[in-house]
Amino acid sequence: MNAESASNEFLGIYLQEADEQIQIVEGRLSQPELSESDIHEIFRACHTLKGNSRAMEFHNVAQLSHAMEDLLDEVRSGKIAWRSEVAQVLLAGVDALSEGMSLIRSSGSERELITTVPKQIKELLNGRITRPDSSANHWSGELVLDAGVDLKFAKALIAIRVVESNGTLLKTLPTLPEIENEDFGDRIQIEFSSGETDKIAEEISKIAGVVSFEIGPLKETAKPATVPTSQIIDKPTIRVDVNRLDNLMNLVGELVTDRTRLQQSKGQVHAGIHETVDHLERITSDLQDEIMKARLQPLQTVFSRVPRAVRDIAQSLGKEIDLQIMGGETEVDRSVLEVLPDPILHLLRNSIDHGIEDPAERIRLGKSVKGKVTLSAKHQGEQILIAIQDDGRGIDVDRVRTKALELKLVTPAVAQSAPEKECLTWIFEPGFSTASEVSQVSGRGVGMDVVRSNLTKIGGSVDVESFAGKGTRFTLRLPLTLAIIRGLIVGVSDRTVAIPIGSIQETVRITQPDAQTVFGAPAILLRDTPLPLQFLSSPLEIAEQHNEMLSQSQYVVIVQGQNGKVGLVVDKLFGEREIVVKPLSPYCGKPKGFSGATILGDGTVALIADVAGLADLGGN
Amino acid sequence: MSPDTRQIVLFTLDAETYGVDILRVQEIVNAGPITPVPATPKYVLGLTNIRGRTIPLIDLGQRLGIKDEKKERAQFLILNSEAGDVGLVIDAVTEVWRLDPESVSSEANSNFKTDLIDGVLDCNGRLAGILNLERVLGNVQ
Repeated sequence: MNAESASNEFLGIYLQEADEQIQIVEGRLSQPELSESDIHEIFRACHTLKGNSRAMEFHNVAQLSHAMEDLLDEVRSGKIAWRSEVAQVLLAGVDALSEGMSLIRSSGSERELITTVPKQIKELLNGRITRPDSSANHWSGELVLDAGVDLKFAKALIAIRVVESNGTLLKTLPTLPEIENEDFGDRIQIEFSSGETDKIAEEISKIAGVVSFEIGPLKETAKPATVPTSQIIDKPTIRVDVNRLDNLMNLVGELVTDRTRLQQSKGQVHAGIHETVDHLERITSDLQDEIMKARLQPLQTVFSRVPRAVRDIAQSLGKEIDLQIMGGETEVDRSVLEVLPDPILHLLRNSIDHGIEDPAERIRLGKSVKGKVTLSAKHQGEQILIAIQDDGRGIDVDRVRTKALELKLVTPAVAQSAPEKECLTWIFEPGFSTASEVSQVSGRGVGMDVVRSNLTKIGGSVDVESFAGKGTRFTLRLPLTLAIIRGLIVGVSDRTVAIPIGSIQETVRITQPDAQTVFGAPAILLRDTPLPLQFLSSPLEIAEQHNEMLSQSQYVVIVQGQNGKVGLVVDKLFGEREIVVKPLSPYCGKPKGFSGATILGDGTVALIADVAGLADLGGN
Repeated sequence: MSPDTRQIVLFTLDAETYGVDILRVQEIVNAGPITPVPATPKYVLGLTNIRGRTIPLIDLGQRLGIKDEKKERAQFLILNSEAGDVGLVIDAVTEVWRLDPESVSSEANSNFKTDLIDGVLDCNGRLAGILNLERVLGNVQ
């Protein structure tokens, strides 16, 4: 099968798997410390990629991953020491692989992929260094003592002293106190660094009772990595078509509907069925939960790309960054996950570029040379909090004031008197950028506003806190899922509409028909404050309701629009429900004021109100 | 039946008969409640729930321009399309017609003043307009 004749399905699976393997390689390589299992994972990923690419006849990619695999095999067997050149060439390989994938995506072929990585690897392998490079002269020796010798511990201690006098003792296994108590068999592991291994070996072999002392390079033992990847990636997983999950979700939704119906008719049927209905209820709830969880993915899939990006950004700016990542195991719905990479990378870029000072300045200020940037995530109730914090200079509020005034975002009075907290929110306005010069990394004034609008689109938000001279913290708040929200179900004439609870401030009942009009737009006084009204019947195009008169039986649902509060006038309130959000079919266009649809307990479809859109309509 | 044989699902709309390629038919369901969606063309009737999915419905009579008002009908003919599944509101599916490519009489099309049908089929004396679904559904979005 060649690339041209490969069915799209195979190609799709290949590309998806390739992306995953590349991500594994990149993620593991980006860690500050690599354990043996990391090397092994990278090796396996390259191996898989090689096999798949051969099967698809993508020979350049296959050759490249083969070369990477060879190099890793040498590392794995200890023939080549892990060092920065090895990591560099592998990272270059990752870049080339990614380029190959994008070539395949755009043209269906990677024949034009040009890379020197296989050649570089060959050179590395030819100039093979069989011992760890001199900078890290770490060794591990196994001391074997004659089991019958007297004062076994003393012989061991003599051997250890030999090591100490010719180098630095790192560690013994068992530990020194255990050796002193003769609490060991006939073997001791001695880890040390030294440039005189031959001398050590010779002197130890002269000690009476020593059977052998073999020295080999010390293999890096697994150190706790800053990025806790293993426990996430190592779980067995299977690949499931997202559409299939969506279908399952739909069916579960229907099951829930049937359950509700059964429950409602419980009173009218034979008592014996009650138990069955209760059981069905429990099962459907559990099933619903599980299906929801099947859509969750750890944030790690986004976080694993961060260390590399941060390093690249820091390098290009001549800054040193100590990056800490926490909470990668936090799970979110994949719909949320898809939105995240851009905002996170942008905020990190912003922190490194504008927040963290130049190394020279940091030294002058008595800070550590390396700027500290922390990316963390955690669950908080029904939300996910992602924080990006730096220990840089903070945001200069006075400059924000000046800039906002220059850009005519605010009036001079507001620019002067607005509290600090409010000023900081201006940085999310379109066109705002505090960098005095446009830099390559951030700047140009696009970005912060995009960050905010992307997050608001999915029902999230971004806050900023600044501590002068000490740092800046951005906090993203995101919903756990976009698929299920709580909605207030309201009735207008014979229609039913769901209003997302998150955007509702309060609901009030009309006590007297005291609507007035301002410039022809209806409004009421709510606790002495005028509140513009929007009759929900009008965006719903319910003709007979167009008289737009308030009656005493109606309710006003007060929501926060972009330009302030708006009261939505409805006929009935049916209460709060969990609703499954479904996007509107393209056949329905994009009706202003409605963002989606949901299926209610009785099986009918209800539209989901888009509060921002409705509030806008009210302003007209 | 040769593999080239096309099968056409025939259905009625008042006194007329229309057909669509069976490969485009997802399912046929009895009509259920429809929730109107504002700001859509007149012939987009709204959304209905088919086993947990919200499917948009099109009033074929109004779409073809042969009926002025929407009319309650008995069945939804659910079709697959590039923009997702979509339903046509029809009276009833009557039969599946096997169409031998050699006996296609679709040259008749140019004499009918619409590009919404590919041709007219003679099904044992009954005339059926074969819908051009790309056009019928295409302009809707």
